[in-house]
Formats: sequence, structure tokens, C-alpha cells
Amino acid sequence: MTVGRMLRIALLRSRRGWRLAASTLGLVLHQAGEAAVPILIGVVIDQAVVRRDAGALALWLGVLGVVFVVLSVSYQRATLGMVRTYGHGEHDLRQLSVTRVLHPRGRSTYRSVGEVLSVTPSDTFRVEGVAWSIAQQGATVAALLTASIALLVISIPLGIGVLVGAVVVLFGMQVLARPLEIVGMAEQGSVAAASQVATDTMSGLRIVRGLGAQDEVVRRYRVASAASLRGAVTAARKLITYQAASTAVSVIYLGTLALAAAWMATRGHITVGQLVTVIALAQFLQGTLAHIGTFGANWAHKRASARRLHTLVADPFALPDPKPDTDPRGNAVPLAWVSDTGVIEAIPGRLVGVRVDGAATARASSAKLGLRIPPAPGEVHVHGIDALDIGPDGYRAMVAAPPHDATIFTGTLRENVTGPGQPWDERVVRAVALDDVIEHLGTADAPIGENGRRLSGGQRQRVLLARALHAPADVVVLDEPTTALDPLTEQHVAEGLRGLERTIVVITSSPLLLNACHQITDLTTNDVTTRLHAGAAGGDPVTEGAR
Amino acid sequence: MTTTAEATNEPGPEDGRLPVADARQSWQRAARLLRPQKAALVVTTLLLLTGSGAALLIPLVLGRIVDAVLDNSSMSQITAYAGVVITAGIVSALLLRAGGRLLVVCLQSALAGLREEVFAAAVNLDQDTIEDAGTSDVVSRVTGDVEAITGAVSGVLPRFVQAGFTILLTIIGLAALDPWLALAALIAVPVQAFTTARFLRRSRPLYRRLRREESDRGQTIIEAVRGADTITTARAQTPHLQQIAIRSLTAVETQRETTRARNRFNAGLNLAEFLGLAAVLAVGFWRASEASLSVGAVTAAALFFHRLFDPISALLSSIDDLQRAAAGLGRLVGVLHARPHHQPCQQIADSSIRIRSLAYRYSPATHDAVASINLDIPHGTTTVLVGVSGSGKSTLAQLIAGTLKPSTGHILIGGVPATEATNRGRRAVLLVTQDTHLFTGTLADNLRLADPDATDNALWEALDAVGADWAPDLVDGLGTVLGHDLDDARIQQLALARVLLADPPVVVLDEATAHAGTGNALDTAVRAVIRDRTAIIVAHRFTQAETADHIIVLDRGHIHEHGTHTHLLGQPDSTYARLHTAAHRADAI
Repeated sequence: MTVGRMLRIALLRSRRGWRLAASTLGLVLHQAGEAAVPILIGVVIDQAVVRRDAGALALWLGVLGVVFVVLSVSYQRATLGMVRTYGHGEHDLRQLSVTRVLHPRGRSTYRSVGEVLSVTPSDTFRVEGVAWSIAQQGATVAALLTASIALLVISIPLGIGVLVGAVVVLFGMQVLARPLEIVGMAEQGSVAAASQVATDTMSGLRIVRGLGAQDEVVRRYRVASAASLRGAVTAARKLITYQAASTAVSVIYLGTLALAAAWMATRGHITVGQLVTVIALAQFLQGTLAHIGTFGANWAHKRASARRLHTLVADPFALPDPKPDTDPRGNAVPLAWVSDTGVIEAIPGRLVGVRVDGAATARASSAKLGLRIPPAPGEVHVHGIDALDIGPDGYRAMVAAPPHDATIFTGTLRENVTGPGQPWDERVVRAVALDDVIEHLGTADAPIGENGRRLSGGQRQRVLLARALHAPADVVVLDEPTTALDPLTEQHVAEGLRGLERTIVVITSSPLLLNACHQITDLTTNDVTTRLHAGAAGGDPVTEGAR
Repeated sequence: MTTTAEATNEPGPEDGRLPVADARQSWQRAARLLRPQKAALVVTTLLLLTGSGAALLIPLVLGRIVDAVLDNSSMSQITAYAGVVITAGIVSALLLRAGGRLLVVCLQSALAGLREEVFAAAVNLDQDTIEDAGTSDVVSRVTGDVEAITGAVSGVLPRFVQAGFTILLTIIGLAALDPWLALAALIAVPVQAFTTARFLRRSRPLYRRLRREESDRGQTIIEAVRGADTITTARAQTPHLQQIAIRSLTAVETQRETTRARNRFNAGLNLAEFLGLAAVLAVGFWRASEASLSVGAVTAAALFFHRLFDPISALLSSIDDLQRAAAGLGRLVGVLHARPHHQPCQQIADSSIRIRSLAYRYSPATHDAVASINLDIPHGTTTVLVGVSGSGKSTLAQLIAGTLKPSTGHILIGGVPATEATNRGRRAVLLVTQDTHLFTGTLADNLRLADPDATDNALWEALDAVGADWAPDLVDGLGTVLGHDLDDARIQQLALARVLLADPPVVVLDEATAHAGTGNALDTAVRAVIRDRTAIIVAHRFTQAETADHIIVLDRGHIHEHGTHTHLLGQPDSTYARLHTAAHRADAI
């Protein structure tokens, strides 16, 4: 896969190439029409005004009308086609990058959310912008060519002069625009600085207020705002200076051209009407040339975006390819984990506890059991087969091991709990004490806000717990699922989990939760405690000691 | 394409939104902001006017060149005219540059003043106001609206002003050539007016829908990327990708619709261009034959009108952007209108807490979140609140911290209402919740929020006291820019270190250590923070209660039981005793 492939997808996939070509042709026609307008102004002056011919006036105004119809209709068809090409191309690139981010085999390189998000919407947008560049470049070249052909018809030396002049002006514009683009990026960044501080402060506003630090954050915002002001002013000044310079360059072009054409008219090489056409065309070209100076620099940005997008899409996978023909054996242990100290096994229909010494150990253990970080070969087995051989997709169909800080999605409570097509299980809802969350919201179909903002930390954690237990998997692995719960609710949830008769492995350091387990393994010492037949509230535990 | 933040800009029909200022209020505010720059604005206007005027010399003199050729004038005369064209163009470019630069400075400075004022108002809004309006509304105003106006001020507005001047001066120029030519050009105006009005009417709801759809799409992508681990673990890729695809294709379709509307607008403008140009040429033909107007003058008139194509479409198509910027201005000024009355501050006498017949409800429709609370908490003691979810612990904690105002009754900190309690010019009560947030910036930036003047030594001491033993290992020390890979427990250590730096007499910890799990790295930090202070702790862990001076068990917003650990344990059927038994048995494993 190459950077070129990103561009091919952007421009050519699903017969986009044809549509892009047709749209470019439309824009070419439009620009040619725009170039024809000044030519026709000259013709009207020459044929009608100078010769005082009313018939010629009617005829050429009629031609002008036809040209306007052509340029207007071709522009409309072209933009409509471009929006389709552009919209679908960007869509494909976006889907491609998100599909990669969500690939079951994961990434071996770490990328922060912010890094991915800067690529996914922004760079796909910029890469697809290539389509516009191509169409617009084509149209500009068409305008130049039309004007030059008209001028060549009027006078060959004049036509050649105009073309050479246009190339010189174009080159001049590129040189002028380059520093503008390079510095422009940095300034864009500082313009966004104030917004970043504002977003950051608003996300942490409760903390700021709890601390009474409003004055300090306002002071920091003022600093960022002043930087933004400087950035915005510098960027705008640069742009204004560039515009002034390009106007000056093109007006010199216009004046020189007018002088040359007038000289030729006095010598009788061209007619007065042709002089008018040359002047009108020069004025038209002045506008067109002033627009195209920034194309080259834009192209460099777009290539850089395509490269970033490609790097993201081509990230190496963290997990190996699954092996074919790995049918699980029915009678083997549903989940076995060979930890550093011993073997931890899930027991069908039972709650198995893994006691850890802290949050970091719990995170690392559940990441392995969820294949978020690759386990060593032979470390994790499902139904007797190495997890790496089954592959992430097959493994996760049998073992549900969501992360401790799983994401809550915008939507209703029910959408967040039940997977796609899963029914709502009242037993689970009662077991994890979700009833009072439903009561708090009024109904299970109420939206819970971005990141579950309408819920408290404890409520969010119970939603995640309910979601894990709704997963259609044989084994559920839970990573410290009760840290945000108060003791009374935690007690209720612990008893609920024990009573569900599901195959659950819970990684935790909470005594209340461990107390409810049918069997407990201490991850540090590998001491195993079994209390298969005891209720959570009574009975003496039986310690078997290390295996 | 619009940004995600901008997308939520449209004032919605939902209740509880922050106010939006009307056009009159917005313009008054804008006028007040610009008043100090009156002189600069006058100079700007003059520069832009003379600049546009100089540019108009170009077609006039080009017309003279045509006449000079017809009259067989000398080549030196023609060269002089060409020189005037170039000089007029360069002078115009310089004048417009000076005017444009001045205009941008004036407008951007005024805007910077406005956004700073709005931001200060936003962070000081009533907590209730913000929660009702939704944080996203406030964020979109201080980011999306500010950016929309910044963009308009730098790009659209100068273009608009310049195009307006050019059009005005051109009409005057045409009239100077021959009044009939100016009249002919004006034929275009009714067509343009009709087209623009229709476009604005039809496009506005379309653009609003497009921005909403693009924001929905952005939101889904952000959630999918943030929740990538969650989604892959749950094998839910397909529904998420489908949702993104549906939203993205919906936005593409709407974009096509907006393009169709814009195309109709362009068709109307093209029609106006044709009518105007044909009329100018026809009238020029008539005036040249009847009133002996020179060919050069007709040429100049046609060139004049042809030159107007660009400024007119710039002017008319920026009306929409300007209206959107004006709407953004209304929303910014609206934040200033929502500004609460300045909160009075009173110095506390000591750090005791006294609560009398306190009740609070979140909205009139709901029942009391807490009710009939009477409580005295002596200076320098630690009180733990215990209870199930929804029993009112957090509400009571926030009331004590003064971030919520009692509906009835009162809370006095050292004799002063909690919302006004101040100690030596700083808030007397600090609240730490389980909401973790790492502020963008360095470690020092995160800590100095609490005390901007704290020395590096003070920062290190605070970090040491909360057990942040990872901090000395950071490569750049206090200047290290912290990444979002810092886990919640460490972020919370920073929050507790901030309390030490701020050194308040009263501290409220609302499940502040919940993230650390039960193998607790934050115990040291909590001990350091509550030492020598009046402390209220909302316990998520039972063991925190055992060492407290006072325990309060809440049930459905009321104080159910209270007393010391030993006292409550002495009543075997108390909720507290039941809990303790469960926890104690668990500890034995």
C-alpha cells in the first residue's frame, strides 16, 4: 500500500474517475465561457458600436446569451457532480481509516485518540480536496488556453506574449505564496489555541469551580486569546499582503499587454475591436491568475495528509492471523489463563475471583484476557485451544472481557446495555442494581447524554457491568467492576453476580466482591480458596493452598 | 466544511438553553467594543474608499487608450495612459493593503476583548444554569461561535466591505460616463435581489441541517475512536461502522441539496450578469450613435460592468456567512446576559459547619434530594457520609461546598453562608469529586491552578505529601507536558495536591478516591489532605468510615443514623452495623 493508493481511492474508486473527468470538463466549459465573455465584448464593440450596425448588435448579444446559458448550466452540472465525487470519496477514506482503527487484530504501535482523530476527519478531508484541485486546475488551464487561442487568432505575437506573460505571472505567484503557506500553518494553530483552552476549561469546569480557580483560568484564557489575536492578525496581514502583491503583479501584466496591443492597433496590425477584446481578456486573466497562486503549496499539504492517512491505515497488526480449523473441544475448560504464578480457570456457571494487589495489575490482566495486548503463545486458552490460534474474532465470541474504563456511547440506557439484537435481561438488570438507574432516568429508553454525563460514576459503572453481562459469550471477564459503588450497592451487586449462574471471572481487590465468589485465586501467591457451596453471607471458606 | 463545535451553534427549541441576544443588543455591544477604535475605523474607511476609487481608474484609462488609438494619438500619449493604469493599480493595491490591515487589527482586537469577556462570564455562570443549558452549549459558544466570527472578521467582512465600495464607486463611475449607462447597469439589481432573498430563505434551513448532520457524524467518529477498545472487545464494529456510514451519506445527500440551492442562486446571478451586460452594451450602442458617446467610453462602461462580476458574487454569497456570524455574536452576547449577579464574599470566623432545616431539590417537578438536615460539624473534625446511590450524599456534599444553593434552610461555614464563605480572599471550602480531568499543559500548570504564585518547592512538597512518587521520574520535571495516558489515580493525586496548595480550612471529598480501586494508592494523599482541616468525605469504601470522628448514614435524602463508629456498631440492627459485618467478614478472606 502506498500514498498513491490513498489518492487512487480518493479519485478513482467506484467509477469516481469518470465522474471527476465529466465534472472537470464541465468546469473547463464554464471557464471557457467566462473567457468568451470579454472576447464577445470586444466583438460587439468592433462589429456593432464602431460600425453602428444594429443587426450585428442583436446577433452578438444573442451569442452572448447562448454563452451565458452554456457557462451557467455547465457550472451547475459540474458542481453537483463534484459534490458527489468529493462526498463519496471522503466517505470511503473515512470508512477505511475507521475500519482500520476498529480492526479486531489491533495495532502494534500506540496512537493517542487525539492523533487518530486528527487524521480521520481532517486528513481525509484534505486528501479528498485533491479532487477539487484537479477540477479547478483544469478549469484555469482551460481559461488560459481559450484566452490564448482567441489572442493567437487576433495576432500570433500577441498570443505568444500573453501566454509567456501568464506563465511568468503564475510562477511569480507561486513564489509569493510559498512563505505564506508555510507560515500559515503555524498561525492556524495559534488561532485555535484559545478554543483549546476554552474546551479544556469547560471539560474540567466542575474541578475549576470546586477549587475556586476561575480567576486563574480566565487569566490563562487571556494569554491564549492574545496569542490567537496575534496569530489571526499575522495570518490576515500575510494574506492581505499577498493579495496586494498579486494585484500589483497582474496589473503590470495588464498595463503592459494593453500598451503592446495599442501599439499594434496604431500600426494597423489589429482592429480597435480586437484591442478591446485583448484589454477585456487581460482584465479577465488578471482575476484568474490572482486565484491560482496557492495551488502548488496546497498540493504539498495534501500529499502530507495522504501520507499520514496511509501511515494510520497501514499500521502493523498487534495480533497474528488466526489459524484455520481450530474447532473448540466441548468438554475442555471454557477459559484458562496460565499466569506467572499458576493457572486460573473459569468454572461453568460459577463466579471465580482473581485477587490482585492494585489497579495496574487488574488493568494488565484484563487487557490480556481481552486480547487488547497480545498474550504469549499458550498463555490463554479457550475450550482447550490457544487464544492466538482462534484469533480475536472467534475468541471474543466466546469470552467477553471489556476494559475497566469502557466507553459509554451517546444513546439511551437500553442501547448502551444490550448489544445489537440482544434482548434486555431483567435478571441481569436486577443483579447489578440497575433498577435505580432506570428510576433516576424515568425509563430505560431515556438518553444518558454524551459519555453518560447524566449519570453518576456509580451509575455509569453499573451500566457497563450490565452491558458486559449482556454479551452473548460463554465467559465474562470483569475488571474491578465495583470501584465506584458505595458499600451497600457493592454488596448487592456482589450477591447478584454470584446468583446469576453465569461463567464469570472477576479481577478485583475488593473484599466485598471476593467474598461473594465461589472460588478465589490470589494472583500474587496463587493461593486458591474455594467456597462452592457457601452463600455469600455465611459459611467458612475452605483454603486449598497453592496448587 | 464546518467544524464539529460550530455545528451545535443553532439556538434550539430546548428549554434551559442560555439566552441569545437579539440583533439590537448585539449591535449595541459591537458598537461599544468598536468605540475606542473610532479614529482607526475612519482612517480604514478612507483608505478602502480611495483604494477602490484608484482601481476604478483602470477601466476608465483603458477606455482612453481605445479612444487614443481611434484618434491616432501619439504613442507617447498611449504609453503615458498605460503608465497610469499600472500606477493606479499599484496605488490601489497599496491603499487596500493598508486599509485591510488596519481593519483586521481593529476588528480582531475588539473580538479578542469580547471573547475574553464571554469566557470570564461563562466560567462564572451558575452551576445550575450550565447544567441545564448543557456544557456543550457553553463550549460551542466559546469555541465554534468565536471561531465563526473570527473567520468572518478576517475573511468575509473585509471582502464584503471592499466589494460594497467597488460596486458603489462603479455605479458612480458609470453615471459619470453617461447616466443612461448607470441606469442600464441597474437592470441587474432586481434580479439579484430576488435571487438572493430566495437563496437565503431556502438555504438557511438546509445549512442548519447540514451542520447538524456533520456534527452527528463527527460525534459518532469521535466516540468510535475513543471507544475503539470497547467496540472491538464487544465485536460491535459492524453496527458502529454502519452508523457512521449512514450519517456520513446522509450529510453527503444534504450537501447535494445545498449545492442545488446554491446552483439556482448562481443561475440567477448569471442571468443578472447577462441582462446587465447586454443592457450596458445596447445602451452604449444607442448613446454612441445618438449622443456621440465615444467608443472608448462604451468600452470603459462594458469593462466596468464586467469587472463587477466578481465583487457582486462575493458580496451576495457572503451575506449568508455574515448572517451566521451575526447569529454567533448574538449567542456570545447572550452569555453576558446570563451572567449571575456578583457573588458576595465574606470572611469566615472558623471552620465549623452548621446546617439548619436544609432541603434541596434539583427542579420544582422532582421530590427533595435532601430534606430536613440539621447538623453541627465542629472545627477540624472528619465526617463521613455513608448511604446507597441516590441517598443524597453527593447533593449534601455539593451544598456544603457551596456549588449548590439550598432551596430552603441554610448552611453556615464559620457563621457565613456556604456560597459566600471565603478565607483570606480565597474560597473557604474546596470540593474534590470523582470527576477527573487533566488540564492541558505541564505538571506545574495543573498544580498552579490552585495557587498561581506557588514556588517550585511548594509544588514538590505537595506532590510528595500525596505520594506522587512517579513525579520525580518525569523527564522535564514540573515542566513535563502530561499526556492523557496518565491514569485516573495519578490525575486524582494531582487534584489532592492542589487542595494542599490552596490550603482551605474546609475540604469536601466526594468519592474522590473511587478510581484507584481498593488497593489504594490514594490513602496517604487523603490523610494528608484532611489533616488539620474540617473534612467531609463521601465514602465509597467502608474502611474510610472507621477512622472518622463522625459518621452520617443517609437514606432517601434524610439523616438515617449518625454517631461515631463505636456508637453505631453498638446498635446491632443499624444499617451501619449490617454493613460493617459484611465488610468485616469480607476482610477475613
